[in-house]
Amino acid sequence: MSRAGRFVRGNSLSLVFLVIFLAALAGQAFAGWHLYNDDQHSHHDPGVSLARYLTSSRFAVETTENWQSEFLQFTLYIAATIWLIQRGSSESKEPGEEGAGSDEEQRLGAHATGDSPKWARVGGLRTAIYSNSLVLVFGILFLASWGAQSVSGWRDFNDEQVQHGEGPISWARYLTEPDFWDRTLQNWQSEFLAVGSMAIFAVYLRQRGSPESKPVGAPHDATG
Amino acid sequence: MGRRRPGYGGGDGPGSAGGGPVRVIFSVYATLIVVGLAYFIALGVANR
Repeated sequence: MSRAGRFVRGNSLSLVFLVIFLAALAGQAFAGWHLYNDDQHSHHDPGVSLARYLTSSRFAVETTENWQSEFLQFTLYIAATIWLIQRGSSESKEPGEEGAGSDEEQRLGAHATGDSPKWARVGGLRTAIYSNSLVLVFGILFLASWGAQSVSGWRDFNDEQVQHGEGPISWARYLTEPDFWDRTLQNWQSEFLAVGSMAIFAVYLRQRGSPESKPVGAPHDATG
Repeated sequence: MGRRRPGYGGGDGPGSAGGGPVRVIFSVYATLIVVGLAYFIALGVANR
């Protein structure tokens, strides 16, 4: 196999999701542009170009409201599975294994091996940060995208206010508006349902060949 | 999400993950997300 072929095969999971992310984002942009212009025409306003739509608060809020919920989903799931157990689920640790694990189990400090990442070996603050880096980064991305949703949603909300002859409101006031919480919670509820159902369905259902599943013949009460 | 495997496995060769091409894909994802978030925050702040 060629070098390029080996690269694609060895990284196909992240590459395929990168491609379908970009395709879906392009499709969202195109459909959202048409929807926006339909709305403009219904108010007897002129439509906007695709380039103008891509730099609009509407496109920003509709993208970031979904981003924040996805990053929240993974932040919570990674953190929750440290301490919470689902007996029989491939997504869970065994009962009794709750917690962050010993330094030996986690190969930290003196227990690190030659190929361990440097920040796992050095100890102190760097090892503490690196030990929680997945949750930290996903948590930061959640807060940043929720913040982006709030400011772009606020601008979009004020555009609607002006179109309807009402005055704009402050960002702080927008955070108490149903529009902000409707956009936020409609995304959160779907993520929480999907995560919870994944955790419990994985007890009884199987997908042959997937690392997200127990082996097909594994008993229902086998956890982890 | 992901099923935990017993032990840590041995990888598939020196430098096969964590460096080189894998790091390029990591950087592409990280750049897309960070630039995307900066762009969307800027749109909101700039009142577009």
